[in-house]
Amino acid sequence: MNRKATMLARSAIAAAMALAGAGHAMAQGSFTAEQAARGQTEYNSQCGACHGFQLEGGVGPVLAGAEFRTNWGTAAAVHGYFSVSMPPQAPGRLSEQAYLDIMAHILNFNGLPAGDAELTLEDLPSVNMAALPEAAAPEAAPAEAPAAEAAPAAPSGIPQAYTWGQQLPTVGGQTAATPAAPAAPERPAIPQAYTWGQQLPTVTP
Amino acid sequence: MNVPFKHALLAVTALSVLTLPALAQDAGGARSYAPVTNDMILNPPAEEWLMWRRTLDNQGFSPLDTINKDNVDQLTLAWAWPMAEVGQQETAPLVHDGIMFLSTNQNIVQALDAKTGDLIWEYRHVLPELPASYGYQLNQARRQKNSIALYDDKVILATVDAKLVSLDAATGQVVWETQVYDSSLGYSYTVGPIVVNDKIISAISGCSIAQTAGGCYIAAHDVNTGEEIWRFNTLDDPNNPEQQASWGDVPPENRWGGTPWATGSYDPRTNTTFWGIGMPGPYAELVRGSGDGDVLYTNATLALDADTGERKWHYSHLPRDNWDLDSPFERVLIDEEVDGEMRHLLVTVAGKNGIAFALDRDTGEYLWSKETVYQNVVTSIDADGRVNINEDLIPTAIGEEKYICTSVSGGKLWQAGAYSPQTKAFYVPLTEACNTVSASQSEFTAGNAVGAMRFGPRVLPEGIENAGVIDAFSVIDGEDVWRHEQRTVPTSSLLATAGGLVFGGDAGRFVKAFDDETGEVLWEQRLNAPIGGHPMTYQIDGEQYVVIPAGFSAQAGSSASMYPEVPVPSGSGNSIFVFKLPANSGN
Repeated sequence: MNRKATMLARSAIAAAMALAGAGHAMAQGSFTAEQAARGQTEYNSQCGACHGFQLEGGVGPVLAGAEFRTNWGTAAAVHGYFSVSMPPQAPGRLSEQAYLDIMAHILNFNGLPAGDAELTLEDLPSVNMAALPEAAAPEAAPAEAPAAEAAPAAPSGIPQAYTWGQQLPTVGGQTAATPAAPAAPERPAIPQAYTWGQQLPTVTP
Repeated sequence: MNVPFKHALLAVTALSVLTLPALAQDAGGARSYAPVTNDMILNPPAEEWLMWRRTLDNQGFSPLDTINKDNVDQLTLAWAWPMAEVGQQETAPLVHDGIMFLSTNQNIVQALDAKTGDLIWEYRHVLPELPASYGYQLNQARRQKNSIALYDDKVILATVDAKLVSLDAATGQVVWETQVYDSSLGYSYTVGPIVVNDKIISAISGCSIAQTAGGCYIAAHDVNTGEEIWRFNTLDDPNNPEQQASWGDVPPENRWGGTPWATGSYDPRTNTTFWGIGMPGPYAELVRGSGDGDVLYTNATLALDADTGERKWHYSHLPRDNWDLDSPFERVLIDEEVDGEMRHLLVTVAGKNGIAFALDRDTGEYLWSKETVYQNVVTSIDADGRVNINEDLIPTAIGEEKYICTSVSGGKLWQAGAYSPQTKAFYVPLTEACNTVSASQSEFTAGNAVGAMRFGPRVLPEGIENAGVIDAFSVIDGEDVWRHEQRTVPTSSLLATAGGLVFGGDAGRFVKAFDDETGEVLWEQRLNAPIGGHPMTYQIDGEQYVVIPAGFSAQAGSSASMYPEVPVPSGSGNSIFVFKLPANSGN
């Protein structure tokens, strides 16, 4: 396959990845509005000073938006990190419920709408962070899961990895690439990994 | 409202350089200032601290001995000062002609009377507003290290928005400024330059932000005009086929990282400048696409001709990095006899994995290495210096977890070690820690990093209870001199002095003075926040001062789970504390 054909194939796979990823989102949030509200109170008191009250980051990293959501796999990974290491003045010392409530607030802030049941430890591995809807303020969160609205990655002008568009092997709750999307969109302008769009090997849990 | 608002903006701009002497004194009353000559740069006065590590060899050593082993326990607070901005406390104060130059986050620079702590002037750099979604790029402004250098009657500032700015050292007024790189792509200075022989030699950061693909640079500029003299691209060297081949099929437009994010050193004997280079991006070769290539010049030492920027040699401290184990840290130049022969050494704990290296800095020849903290990524180093890695730890699938020591926070981090020519020992602040890593695959977004890897919490290696280490070892052969261990991690650079002392501090808010021969703690003082930045010392009117920065520390926070019994404050408290001996101490 010549380089141009490779690029086209990668782009097609990348677009398919975006679609496939959206399908992995939970159909409905497994947290309640009350739980997210409790989590917001807890977050503002314990986390906001460093991570920002809009989760925009400060001396601590951002907890909303594409970079955050795509890098973490599942909510279990996020929760597994901060429930033992945060906050620095009392690492791992908040109650189990408080950490779950904060996780609910983070999910809510990142666009996952509230549902009928509270978030539990058992739910966390099934929440695919990368497949969350676009980040939005809690008030602006759509009433229904907007998974169906997810569109193929638009040309963003940002360079991507060399592997962009390649289907890389995958394990766990990662967004799995789906090959052979019919459309061949433009290679995104934001630079991507050389392997972007490849299906990379994956470990099954 | 338009016109008054415009006027208000103009007024704010005019006030952005606050010249207190002009207000406080008669016209023309700016304090006099003796220029820093090139000779001073090459051989700094013992009483002063003219650059990041005091000397161009990056030793971090002061010849002052007024404060020494016998009297250090009498240190008392002379004055203190709050930093003008929040963010990580990584400041490196400089002192010349009785003035302390203090740079902090968002490129605020202050001149203080070094004896009294009175403000002389303040410069506030006007930074472009970035979208809130540029999370990583915004963070660069909050981790400004030694952003300034002194030369002639100027303060040279390297800024978050990729400019070099020359300030009048007496007034803080801008003399010239130049936009070196396109900051809208993500380029950002996070460390300051060295200035020697009328050249500003600097390195850009932000090279793991998506839009900066393919270019990361060390460069030289004319100190009088800001004009560029040369630049060297750490990711794309057209003059070295070995470098190109080491990225496999990956073209420059898909290469990131290679960031030289600690200030280099300079050897006037050979007119060579030495820089440490950071990790490759994306972090995992699975996503990077570089196969088993070494991905040069990431994690290398680069020796460049200071006049032309031409590469003399390179040495790879960690080829084929898959874990963000960055190797940019201070390269220290030391001349000592080894086996009866005078050797011109380059000694460095180059990267996060904590391995110490000694090279012949004229040739790049590998001499010896030594492990300082537990690490599992390097299996052996051949006699010719080839570093071999543990290939079982390379991620082969997205989401697959690998347990890596040291952690992404180090091991070693930006906190610089210090060398004492009196003990011939190098003192290094280190952390024992591991974490799990797993590669991820996602579309890169503007203003954000391309690491594509997530990291688990920092945990202590099995069987180890003390996360914090100060390791002292001989630069002749790497043999241990002493080793200090404690629960909390060191969070500041170290300072060695001719008084036989090594100063440094930790996440538990203690600043300590160690006996440079035994490691015994001769003085300690608990401050308001984790000790940070770069402790330094100077002398005025026969009185020696020791400056200890304290404040917010990302390491203290990210490592807190390893020493939960020592809570890290939630307040930031960025400040400097200036200590001296009591007036009646008999000096």
